[in-house]
Amino acid sequence: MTRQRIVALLVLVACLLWILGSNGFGVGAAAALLPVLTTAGVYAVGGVGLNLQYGHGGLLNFGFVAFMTVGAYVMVLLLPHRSGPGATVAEGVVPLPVALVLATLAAAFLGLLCGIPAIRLRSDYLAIVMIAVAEILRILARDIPSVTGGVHGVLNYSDSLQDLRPEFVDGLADALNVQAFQLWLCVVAWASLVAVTLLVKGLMQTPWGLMLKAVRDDELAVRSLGKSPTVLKLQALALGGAIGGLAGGLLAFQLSQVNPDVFIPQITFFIFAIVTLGGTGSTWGPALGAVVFWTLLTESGALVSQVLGSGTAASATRYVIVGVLLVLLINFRPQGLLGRRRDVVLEF
Amino acid sequence: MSSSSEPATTVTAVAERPRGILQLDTLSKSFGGLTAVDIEHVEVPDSGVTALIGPNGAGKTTAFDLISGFVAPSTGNVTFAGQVVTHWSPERRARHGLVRTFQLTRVFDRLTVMENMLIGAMPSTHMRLTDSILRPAMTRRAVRQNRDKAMELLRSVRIDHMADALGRELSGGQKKLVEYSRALMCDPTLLLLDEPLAGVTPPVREEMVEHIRAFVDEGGVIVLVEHDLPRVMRVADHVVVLDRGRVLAQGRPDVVTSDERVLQAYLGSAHHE
Ligand SMILES: Nc1ncnc2c1ncn2[C@@H]1O[C@H](COP(=O)(O)OP(=O)(O)OP(=O)(O)O)[C@@H](O)[C@H]1O
Ligand SMILES: [Mg+2]
Repeated sequence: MTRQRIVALLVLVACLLWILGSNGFGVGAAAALLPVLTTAGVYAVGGVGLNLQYGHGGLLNFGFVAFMTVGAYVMVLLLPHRSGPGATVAEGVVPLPVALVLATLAAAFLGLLCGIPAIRLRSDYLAIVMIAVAEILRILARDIPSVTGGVHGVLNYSDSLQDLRPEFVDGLADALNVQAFQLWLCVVAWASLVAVTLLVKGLMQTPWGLMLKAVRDDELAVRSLGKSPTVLKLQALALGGAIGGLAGGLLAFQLSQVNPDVFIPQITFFIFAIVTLGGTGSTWGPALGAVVFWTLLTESGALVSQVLGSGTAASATRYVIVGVLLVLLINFRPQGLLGRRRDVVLEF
Repeated sequence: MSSSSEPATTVTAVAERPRGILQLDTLSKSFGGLTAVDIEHVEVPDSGVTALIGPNGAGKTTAFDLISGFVAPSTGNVTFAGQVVTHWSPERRARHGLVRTFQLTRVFDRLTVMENMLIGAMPSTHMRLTDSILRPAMTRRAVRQNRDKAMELLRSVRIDHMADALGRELSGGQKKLVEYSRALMCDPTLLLLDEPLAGVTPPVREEMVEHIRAFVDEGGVIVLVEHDLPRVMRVADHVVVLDRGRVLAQGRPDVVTSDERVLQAYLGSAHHE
């Protein structure tokens, strides 16, 4: 085990202990841990998608939340749900696994749609195009209520997930003294996370993955050797987008309602923070980064409200704290917790 | 350039070789008011080493950019192996065997030397996402074979001990050698080398020269831009002299080097000292 991994493991344990500790290690402590872990798992899935695009492929995408928007809406609208001001009931179209697959495909398609005009541009233009796309999608979701339920959004779709809950989860939930539905969601989120992490890890070890890294380093050199970077970048954008779509679906279950206010640009920057914290271009960085990020955000919020009292000032202050920590991190450890310095720094 | 002022040797040289591998016709490139390249007609024979020489700023690198497709010409055509490739993308030209190196080396900084070599070697089909996922055994086998080939090439330019080093960790000369070997991994039929000896130590220079000779002996064609004139003259079969974008002379090395205008334009200072 390398020193870096030991440190990463210690950081992980410290995060878990911090949350448990601030809840007194008591009966309620596991219940306090669960929502943080679930949120972390969901965002980490998004992190894996962004890491494929940005960490491995060098595609700057400041509108990553667009993929999550598409994933979330496509999934919930295919499941039995209620929507709109009257909470109109709608029948399910397909079972949950199919809905999730279609959601990821839709997100991948969005990647192609945005990529085909934008991928030939420099990566900062792609970033700008994606910001615009994400905002347009959010506003569309608000302004076509007949499809998306408008500002009232979509509700009551979570049974589709809970109906699939196996028995053992209920037993385990009893033993841990947590809610079974929450535990099940956490299990699903982390299982998805492990799956997509291993998928991307495997991909990056193939010649395709090697090419993607070469494209990130020097597109012109790749072309001089007879390989076209365009298709490869599109594939990375679509594949990362599909993973983002999955994250969007998971986020929908975690929030138990989907509306336009959910998919604000802030989510993209949370995920960027997570990828940076964990280590851009690293395998397990998004998972670790997400746990650290959400522990910091949750627990520093708790600390701040002890000092300032709860209120807007307190909830804003925690973002300041996390922001300052990120700036320090980028200065002193740009490769994050698990990354390799060579992947992020151009000169030693 | 009026034909009457051209050396007679040039005319005969061209007439003797009607089927060159590369042909440039009224090829020009202007950057704003500056005409960097203005070539009436150049034909690269389909064997041997053709040296492209000329003073700094003569337009040699720009000519390479035009031939390899990285820069679109203002006028004219590039014909490669009988096909007009003027509107082909650089990657398409490279896939057809027209491969170049860069004066300012472009090694993949964050890949190892071996990985750099593999990028050169892989047929683009093996890099396909579908093949990487669905036919892992095939891609693994391809990688293994290419690894052996790469090691052999690296050994021949004496940088095999750097195989696991990152691109960014190489010295300037080592980068030149990696870029050269990486281009050879593509199995080019026509290789454009932009100052491959720059920054390379004399003993390795000699080996490079031998390397280049061995490559053409096996049927490859090289266009060489290089300021190390003694070595250029030793390795070249055909010389094209550029000056301010125009072809000043072309022909056999001994004929070109004795051309008075070439001596003035290029060898001028050394000649008169
Ligand atoms: N992108 C560009 N924009 C403007 N001018 C350019 C550009 N590229 C080249 N030039 C000009 O074109 C001329 C030819 O440049 P080029 O790099 O082809 O010369 P060269 O023969 O390769 O010189 P050297 O031996 O120094 O490498 C120079 O005057 C240069 O300033
Ligand atoms: Mg040059």
